Amino acid sequence: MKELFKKGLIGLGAVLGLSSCGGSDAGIGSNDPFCQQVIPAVETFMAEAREAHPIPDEPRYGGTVVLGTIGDMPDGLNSAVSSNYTDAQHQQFVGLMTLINYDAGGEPRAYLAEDWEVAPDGRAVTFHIRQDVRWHDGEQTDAHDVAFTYEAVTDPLTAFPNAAFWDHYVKGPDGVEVVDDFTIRILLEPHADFMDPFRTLGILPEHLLGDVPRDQLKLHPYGTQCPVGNGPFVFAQHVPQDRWVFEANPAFPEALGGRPFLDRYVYRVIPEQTTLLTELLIENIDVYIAPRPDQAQQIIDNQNLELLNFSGRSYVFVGWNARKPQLADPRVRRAITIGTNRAEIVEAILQGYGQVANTGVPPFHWAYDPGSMPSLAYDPDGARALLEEAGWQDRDGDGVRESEDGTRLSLSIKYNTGNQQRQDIAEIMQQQLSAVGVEVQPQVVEWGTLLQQINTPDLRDFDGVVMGWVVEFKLDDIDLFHSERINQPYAWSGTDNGDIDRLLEELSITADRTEAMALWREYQELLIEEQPYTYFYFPDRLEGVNRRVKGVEMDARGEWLNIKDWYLDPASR
Amino acid sequence: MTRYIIRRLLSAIPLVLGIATIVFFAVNLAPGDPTLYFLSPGMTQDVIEQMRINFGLDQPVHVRYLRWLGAMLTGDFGHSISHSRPVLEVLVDFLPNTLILSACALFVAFLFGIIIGTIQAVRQYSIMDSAMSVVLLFFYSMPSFWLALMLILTLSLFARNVWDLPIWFPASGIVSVDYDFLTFGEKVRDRVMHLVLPTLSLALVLTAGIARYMRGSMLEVIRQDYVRTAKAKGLSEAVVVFKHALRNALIPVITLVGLYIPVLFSGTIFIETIFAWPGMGRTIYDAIFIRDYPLVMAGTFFFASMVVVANLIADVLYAVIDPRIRYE
Amino acid sequence: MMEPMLRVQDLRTYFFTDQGVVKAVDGVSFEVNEGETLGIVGESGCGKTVTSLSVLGLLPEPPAQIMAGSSVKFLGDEIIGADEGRMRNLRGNKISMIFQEPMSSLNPVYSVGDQIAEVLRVHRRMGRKEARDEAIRLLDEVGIPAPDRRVAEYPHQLSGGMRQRVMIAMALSCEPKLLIADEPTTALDVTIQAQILELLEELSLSHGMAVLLITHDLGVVAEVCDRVVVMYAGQVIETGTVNEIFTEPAHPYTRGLLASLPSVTNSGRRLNSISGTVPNPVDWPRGCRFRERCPEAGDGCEEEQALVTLESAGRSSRCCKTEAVNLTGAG
Repeated sequence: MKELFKKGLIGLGAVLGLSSCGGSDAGIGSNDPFCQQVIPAVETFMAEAREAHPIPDEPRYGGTVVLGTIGDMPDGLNSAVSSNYTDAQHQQFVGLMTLINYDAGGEPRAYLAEDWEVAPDGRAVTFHIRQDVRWHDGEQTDAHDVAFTYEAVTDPLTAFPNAAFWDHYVKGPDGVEVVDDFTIRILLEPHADFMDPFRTLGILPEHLLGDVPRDQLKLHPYGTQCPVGNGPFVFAQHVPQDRWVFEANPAFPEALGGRPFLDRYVYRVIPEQTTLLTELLIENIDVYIAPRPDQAQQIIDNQNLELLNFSGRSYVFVGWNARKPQLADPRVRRAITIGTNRAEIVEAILQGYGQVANTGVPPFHWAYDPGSMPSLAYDPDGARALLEEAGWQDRDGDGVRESEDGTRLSLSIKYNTGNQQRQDIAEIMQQQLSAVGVEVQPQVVEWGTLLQQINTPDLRDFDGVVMGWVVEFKLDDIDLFHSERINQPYAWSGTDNGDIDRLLEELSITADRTEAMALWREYQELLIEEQPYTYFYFPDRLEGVNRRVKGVEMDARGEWLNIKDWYLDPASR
Repeated sequence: MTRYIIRRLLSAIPLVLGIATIVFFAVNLAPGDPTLYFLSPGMTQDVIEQMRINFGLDQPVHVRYLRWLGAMLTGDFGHSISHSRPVLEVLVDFLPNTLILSACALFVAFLFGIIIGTIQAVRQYSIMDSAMSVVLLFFYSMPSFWLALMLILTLSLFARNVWDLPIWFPASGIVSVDYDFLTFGEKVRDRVMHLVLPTLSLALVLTAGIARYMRGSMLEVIRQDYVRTAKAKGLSEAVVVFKHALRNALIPVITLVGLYIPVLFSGTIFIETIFAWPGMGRTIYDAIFIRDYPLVMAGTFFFASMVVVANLIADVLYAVIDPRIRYE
Repeated sequence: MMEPMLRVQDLRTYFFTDQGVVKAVDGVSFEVNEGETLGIVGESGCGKTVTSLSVLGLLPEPPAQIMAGSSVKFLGDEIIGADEGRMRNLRGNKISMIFQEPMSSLNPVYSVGDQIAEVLRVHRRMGRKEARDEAIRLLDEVGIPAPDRRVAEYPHQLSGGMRQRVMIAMALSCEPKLLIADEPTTALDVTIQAQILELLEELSLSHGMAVLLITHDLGVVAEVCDRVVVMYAGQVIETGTVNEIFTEPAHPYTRGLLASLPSVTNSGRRLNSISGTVPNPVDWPRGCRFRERCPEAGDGCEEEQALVTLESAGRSSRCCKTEAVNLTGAG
């Protein structure tokens, strides 16, 4: 017996000891041949760069910041194939560079492109690329990289997820002209916010990915195993589902601020929000991305922490399937909206961290102007009146209205598992709408199955669905409401309205903001009248930050916005 | 004995294949497929179709099954859709973490369970016996994820922020952020510190069951004649209990090893999520939702194999502990 | 006269249960002299096993309790109330015990060699090899063939008789002065029984070891015992030498026992039996406990019966009908 026990202990000890030897290094030693070639080149160049650009003797330099969030970055820095918000943030601000980015006012300013010109007829934009940017393996970043990236994302084989970006651009090699090594011209049809895609698109290295067949880009190891970028931070390590480690890039152009203050930035994946909060409170992580509203108070109460709060780029709504007979009449949809006390729901769910939404134009957007349109306040009497007018009455006294032909006004509202907020919305609607004679049945569906049910054009198996949507600075609802896209996945509402079509088309090409403003107003009023969705709220983005991290700016442009300018309080290091 | 083991392993192969087949069809026939997750505005049907072809999803189910089977038999587990890496690499990354956690939890659970059960039996009806029963029942009734959160709250958050204890445990991860900069000794300590809370969360629930079983078994054994003989030989109580009684009492408890391994694996999903432990449980769970078929299949295949192996180990342990059992 | 090896005086072992107090051993006294074989005989439930377990302190203390006033002296030293350390020193070493069921009395998961060697290593501080060799020698001494092979075998691989021999080897290993044998042959075949009894006799002689043999079988008593103690309902009701008991039983119960032995000469006739059953130990009847079943019961039997010494010191009887020679009687 003692023998067995001793052996067990020894075995356990051996396992622990051995695992201490390796283990954490998984990810650095990627087995992929591509990465095995690429990584040494990066190491060599970085060693040289560290020599050439010693760390300035200034107290702000140094230290590691640890950031925690609930998901890993599925496609990493591969900007040609990723659709995830966090991936995009790291492509824009951490590892890669975009041609431009926006200032606080939402105006484009130079970044990788030091200058640009728009042709007078608006059909071309020429970018002048900086000449002092190097990839982390030492190669020069130039117009060929931009050309390659552009061609890749406009190539259908790549399956670039935000294909709508390029709706009015000339796609493929025909749309891009390399004038010289540092000048590139891109061809387009004039349209609104045409610069926005260049704010989000991280430029990829042509010398590493140029030969990869386009349909293989999605599965290429570059994105998550050895992304070689040119941004302020250099990829050091990725342990899947655990962490990413980035190190400061000493060769980052001085004109753009040079080497970041931080030595290291660690991105930790922690799937459980309670654990994230705990880690923030015990100061194991410095930044907690997107805590829940009910966690905010604990962050505020803690003296070492600060709660940042800004209006985000997303909104939550209930999408109505107008193809169903009960929902075909816009009056019914409007009645549902005003029969729901949305202000109360928002207060309850978001605890004040957000605003009621009436359309899909979020507060950060320049066209946001809620004062100028109907507010759809809670009005149960008004709802009842509208329903009566639309021919829905409770003919048999069971509390639920029927139409003339006997169809009951009974709706299912679907929402996905694991999302308490969406469940709350569905359930509160059920309760509130029963007072106006509408029967609502909340139905929870697993995410993948739900997507299939609502996105499959022939299927559209839902009445209402609680959904969220994230927008860019360029707002375009074409995929949602244009009748030509009615058989594409995102046309949940099945809207077929000529006026809306016209406005959507005009809005997408009207570049002048004053002109566009009037159109936006008209469009939003129409949207309110048509009510394809019951919009609920624009949630604020909350962030928990340890006060020792200084210089943090976060707003609708993103959380990682100025990570290259973050520094640590020297006393805390 | 060796022949017995080989026979058991051979007969396990059709079992595991059968399980894998069932899982294959269950997952593949569920509504939805991986392309759903890559959907975004402006993506047209043909782009989606292209993606499907890239993932090999354009074939009918039975064709995909046969191709999968053929590939697997040659050791090719395919390419993970959600990780963009060969499935085998993904498994190699995550499986050890789960195995370490499971092994530690099993070890701790059996260690505590056996000791507590023995003490309870030897001191039956004493206050200690009753107190332990209450405590064990408490842990047995708690879901492991609740226990995990409570442990984090008390031993991590409160220990540091509220009670100012000299030792507090990290709330997540397998190693700390600056692991690579530690000395070897510090590295071992770091790993152990990170293992404590997840292991306890998994083990405490199992401990109760094992202790209960052990107590009953031990009570029976203590009444046996050979225990009286041992005492009549002038052996100390410790030797009588831990040498003579214990080994006999352990025999039925060994069954639990085989039974608890699957329980452990399913429990790790919660624990791995709460503690941000990059393990196989979480990976397969995520893979199911994202319909990463190759990964789900390979993961299931491995789990099924491990359950089979665990049961085999339990059977071998019987023979080791009880000389009356001999296999041909 | 030499001090008796074991002197038990007024031993009372009561069991405190939910049903009441079971006075299993209710004032038992006897002596075992050096080198002699004393048999304690009686039917099941009379308290003979509890007596033997009380001597070595092997009863679980919560339900059982050895009452104050009891005395067990081994080699002149009182061992009732001795601490565990002293008792452990005695058990297996100076006083050994073997039990009725050799299969269940041996630990099934350890080899017989290990179990014998264990005693040697604990009490005689032998090293592993030395103890093993000694175990082999002991196995040989108790008559097990091929002991060097047998030593590594497990109890389930041996026959009943061989297991009992192993138990004896184990008990002998430290040259105890007293061997308590609780029904050592009851579970064995008759032929094996004879072999074991012979072995015990031999060993008792060769080692100068006293044996306290507990049995319900008068045949066994006749075979190996020097003196006999007859117990009934928790009390000693007759003592004497084997000869005395068998030729001139003093107590009606003893007479009944002897009469009910099947005999070759009596074949064909119905077996005699003692009518009735042993009274309920929770509630011993007042007066003579055998009264209900005694064919000779009469006046005086309703009083508590004293154990009266008869013609010699070791001869006594607890029956008022027996002629008393010496009226001073031991308690």
